[in-house]
Amino acid sequence: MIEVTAKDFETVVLQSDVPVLADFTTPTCGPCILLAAALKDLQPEYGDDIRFVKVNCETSPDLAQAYDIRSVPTVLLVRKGEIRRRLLGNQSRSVLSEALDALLGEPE
Amino acid sequence: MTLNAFYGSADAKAESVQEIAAGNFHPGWSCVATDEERDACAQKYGLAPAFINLVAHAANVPFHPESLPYLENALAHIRPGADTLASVRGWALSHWPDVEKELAGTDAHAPALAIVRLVESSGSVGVPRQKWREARAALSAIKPRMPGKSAAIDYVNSMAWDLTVSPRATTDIWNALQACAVGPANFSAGWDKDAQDDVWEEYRRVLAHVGATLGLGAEQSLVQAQIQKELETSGYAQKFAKLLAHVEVIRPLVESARERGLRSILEACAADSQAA
Repeated sequence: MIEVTAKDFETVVLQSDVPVLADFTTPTCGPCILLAAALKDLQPEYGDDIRFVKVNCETSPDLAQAYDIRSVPTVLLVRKGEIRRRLLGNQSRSVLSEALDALLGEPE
Repeated sequence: MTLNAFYGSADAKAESVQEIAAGNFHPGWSCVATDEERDACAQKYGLAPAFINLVAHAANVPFHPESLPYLENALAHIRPGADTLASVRGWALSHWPDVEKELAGTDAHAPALAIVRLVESSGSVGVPRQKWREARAALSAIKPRMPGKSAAIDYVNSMAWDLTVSPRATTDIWNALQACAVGPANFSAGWDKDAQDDVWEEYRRVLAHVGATLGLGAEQSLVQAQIQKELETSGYAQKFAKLLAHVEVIRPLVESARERGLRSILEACAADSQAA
């Protein structure tokens, strides 16, 4: 999963041609480690249909603030530059895949 | 590759149990271990990473005060040479009969049973990733029509992963089983997962609104006072108090589900010993 910063968030996430899952995380929080493992399992399932990125809130506090991240992990599902859904805390693979499938099925 | 517990050595098992008893546990046993730590732990003991992940997460190693005695007990239940991945599958499937009763006669039963059959077959034949995904999608498609059964559906779906590739999926199975124990009580009280998530999302919205209204330079005491005011006037405080009261009501259910779950893992290990 690629890490994005304020420098490339606009191009990699907001201007992406495909829907994006952005994981706002920190390297040492327990729930973040669990969520990262779930995302690692899910990423191959979606191939090029969904872009998976992470934002390190410790090194990119500006992005965390701009997107109103109050706790980690927080997942933003973004399509055509719009936040379509926000998932707070660790999530199961089922919840994540249902949310991603719904994101893919949404009208543009 | 199948790992044989303690590489078949009773001495290695005894040594491993003694290590845990002495408090010298491998970092891979921690519920927040990295993949590398967990894999190293698996290689050291000859245990499946999925098994280690399950025990570590269920017992909350090392954070729960009883986690190390439980870990010691779990290791003591494992037969040297056992295939602990098979034990994990056996453990996961051992809860299906109860869930099946809940899903019997509903549209979810057939796709759920299809997943159970896949899990059973995965012990002897490889199941392609696409097949797991299709099976999960078939069951998930029914979930919106059955809000009272979402915990049961999540449990079945959580099993539909290749545990050799995704050993941490056992975390989801454990969590889903715990949710099954409180799912009906949550649903009948109007506090299913979505309703609980809404409360936290509303809290976040209030914080965001206050932050945007007062600006970054605002004094913290002023921010806190404004947050408090908005939480009360918006009705959030009352809603949150109701959620907390509900959490207290279901606490005994949560605790007994955890105890039953931990016991069921030991039973799955023992089942292998009896079969051998």
